[in-house]
Amino acid sequence: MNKQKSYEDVKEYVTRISIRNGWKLNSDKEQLDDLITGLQANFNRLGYYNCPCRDSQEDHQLDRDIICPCRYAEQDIKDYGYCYCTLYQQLDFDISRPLRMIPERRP
Amino acid sequence: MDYIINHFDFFVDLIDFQITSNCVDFSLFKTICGLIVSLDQIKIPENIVNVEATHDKQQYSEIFLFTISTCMWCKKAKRWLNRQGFQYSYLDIDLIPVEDKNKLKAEIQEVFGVKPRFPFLVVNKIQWDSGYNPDIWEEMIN
Ligand code: SF4
Repeated sequence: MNKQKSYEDVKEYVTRISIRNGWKLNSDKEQLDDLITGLQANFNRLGYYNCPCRDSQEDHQLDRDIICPCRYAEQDIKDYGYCYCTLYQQLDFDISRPLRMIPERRP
Repeated sequence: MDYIINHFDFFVDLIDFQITSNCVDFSLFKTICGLIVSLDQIKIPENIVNVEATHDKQQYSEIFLFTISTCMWCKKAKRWLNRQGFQYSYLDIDLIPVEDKNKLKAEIQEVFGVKPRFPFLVVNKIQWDSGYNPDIWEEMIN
């Protein structure tokens, strides 16, 4: 059984990931909160950070491409300015731009 | 099937005409109903949540939403429907057993002809939209 993650643990994790990749976190308080609590719920249920906006097979191997940061994030951030969930964004992403769902890159 | 969907208004008018002119051709009616995709063709698990309307306007559309409980876009979708005051039902598909969920997703794909992404909206059992698109939803619902 994995140790349960707190909200703060998850926030620290995503902050670290964003810094390491040269991205920034979604600056909308409500959306960021939704995303962190979504990741927290997934970790505490599945034992890994399954993408909060994608459906899991509850199997680490089958879900490995959508463990956050997912395999598609880098390209999505390059192409659209943010990842599928909008958690990570390009450093110079214009936050006044309305966020829309981007196409799903996962096959 | 696509033909029926694309010409849905025509078929509705045709049925309407038959009913008002008192010459209903039930075989035609049945054929059309058999071809029309519908949420009724999908076996939905029982964990549905019903949300009551918060406005007192007459609501003509029946709204059903498939969601993932952890998904930011799905939460946005529920908040949008709540803000509009609509009565709707939803199912968080990640909260049902994975085998049931896979079966459900396969049925959605088979019936509506699209690999669903979430939120997945169904209005009046036949019109659908995959993803969070409030501009489109507004037109679908009103
Ligand atoms: S879309 Fe964003 S939040 Fe979802 S897994 Fe990929 S990087 Fe993480």
